[in-house]
Amino acid sequence: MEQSILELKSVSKDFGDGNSTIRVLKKINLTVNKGEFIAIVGPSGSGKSTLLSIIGALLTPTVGEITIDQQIVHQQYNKKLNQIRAKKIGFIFQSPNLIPYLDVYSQLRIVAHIAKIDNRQGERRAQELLKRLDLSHRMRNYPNELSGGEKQRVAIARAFMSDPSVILADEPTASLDSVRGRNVVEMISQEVKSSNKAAIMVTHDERMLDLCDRVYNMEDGLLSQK
Amino acid sequence: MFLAWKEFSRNKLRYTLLSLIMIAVLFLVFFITALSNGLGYADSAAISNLNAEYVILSEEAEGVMIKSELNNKNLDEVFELLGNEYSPFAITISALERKNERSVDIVYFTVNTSRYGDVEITEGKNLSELEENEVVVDESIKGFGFELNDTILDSRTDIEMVIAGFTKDHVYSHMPVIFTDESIGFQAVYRMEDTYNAVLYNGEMVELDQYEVQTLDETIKTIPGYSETQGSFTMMKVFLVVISVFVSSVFFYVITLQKTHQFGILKAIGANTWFITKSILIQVSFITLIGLIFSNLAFYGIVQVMPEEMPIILSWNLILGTGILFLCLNTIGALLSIRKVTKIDALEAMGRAE
Repeated sequence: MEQSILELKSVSKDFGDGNSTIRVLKKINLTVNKGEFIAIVGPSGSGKSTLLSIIGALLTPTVGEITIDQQIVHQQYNKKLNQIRAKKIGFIFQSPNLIPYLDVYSQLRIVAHIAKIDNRQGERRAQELLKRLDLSHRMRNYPNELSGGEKQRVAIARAFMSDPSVILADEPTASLDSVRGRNVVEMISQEVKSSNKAAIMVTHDERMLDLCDRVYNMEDGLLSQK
Repeated sequence: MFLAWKEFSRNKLRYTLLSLIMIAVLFLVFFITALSNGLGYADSAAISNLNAEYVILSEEAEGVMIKSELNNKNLDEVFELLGNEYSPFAITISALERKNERSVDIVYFTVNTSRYGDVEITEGKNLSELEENEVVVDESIKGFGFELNDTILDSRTDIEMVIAGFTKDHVYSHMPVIFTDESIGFQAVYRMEDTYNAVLYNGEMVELDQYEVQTLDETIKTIPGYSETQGSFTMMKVFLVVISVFVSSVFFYVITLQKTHQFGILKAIGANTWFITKSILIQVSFITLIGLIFSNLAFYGIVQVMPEEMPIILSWNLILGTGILFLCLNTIGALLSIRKVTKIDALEAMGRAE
């Protein structure tokens, strides 16, 4: 019990479009422990990304409860949600989604800035992460000067920058070839193990699943372990 | 702060162009406003600056000063009715001879210099100190090469006068005003007898039989063409400001709207709305300030190379007011798109909408 970082208790989500509501997520229970890297697979439209957005405090569940580090997420004020996003959650998106006018180093520093990490600590952490992800030589480059793999690695570094408890990856390999894609997932996995995070990856790519500790299948809003 | 500057330095071209547009728009506002203010001013400043609260005209003039005619008998009658002697006033348009050059159009304001009171003097003597054949002239005549103590020659009557003092803000129909005493006699140039346009007086409003008494303001409004000119100028300025403010604030709205994607990412990273708003506000005020500073420099520059005769008037109040107006409305323009940011779906930034 101590080991769990992320817990979902019967989480459901409805989307209403005018007169009919669609239940996108149906009573989802999920526990992720420290150092665990789990994958969620499933056809598109099954609710994977919605689930990720709810865990990432971008959407609120219709029913149910989510706790990160024993803290209930969704009964917080908006202000606090921002801070939870900034400090507890690291996002890795399908495309790197870097900010075009910041160099690699500043991409990380802005995260430290938002999460209110002090300057010196932020600098040290940014340099350390860039070294681990083999990006030190690219520190002063801008996103348009990087290759796709490098960009995605910067995105990973950014997700880890604020030392979050939970890493959420939404098809992180979608824009990469299989070798680079595997590389990226390996890196996420390594980071998760070495710094005791919890990570959830949504993916289509079956070849990456051997890197994950557990694999869940999502279909029509229902989550089941494979 | 961090974000705002990084974006500037990375997108130099875009923001340079945006600043140029801002400079150009503000320059246009300042320049056109200054020109129309100048024109409006040069038209009638001397009348608005007359040393009088009330103006007495002949009844037939129907309130129009230059149509009014008062002879010496009329003056005596008016003075008797008022119980005091005031300064009469006559407008005479003429020209001054210049050596080897075109003559200069000027206008004489004939008054009784001892009764008229003092005017604002920038150099030399005031009206009450004038001796025989000495006059006080508006300083705009310096542009034609005249200086203090110069002797001037009226081209129509060959009367010689000496410039004893300079005043300012006395221009009438774009001509410099020369204050002369009735002893010099310009009030009798066109007629055999003295003919004045008005009697100027300060004090209480009175009703006089057979004469028209009106305030100075009313007199200004009845100057032929005055309200029409001023009306057009006002319309021009209002439309100019409204349209340019609209254009520039829409510009900021669109520019900010373009960045929705980035704001989505920032939100997903955990930035709150204030963090994003702050950086936009810094950018908007910076660009507007740049625009203000450089448009003023450009304006100052163009004034230096413009011919003297083109009247230009721009007050600090106006610059400040325009600056604040633009700053506010540009900010509002940008804030309108920030309103969208607060509602932005971070899912969109994730590059998929399931």
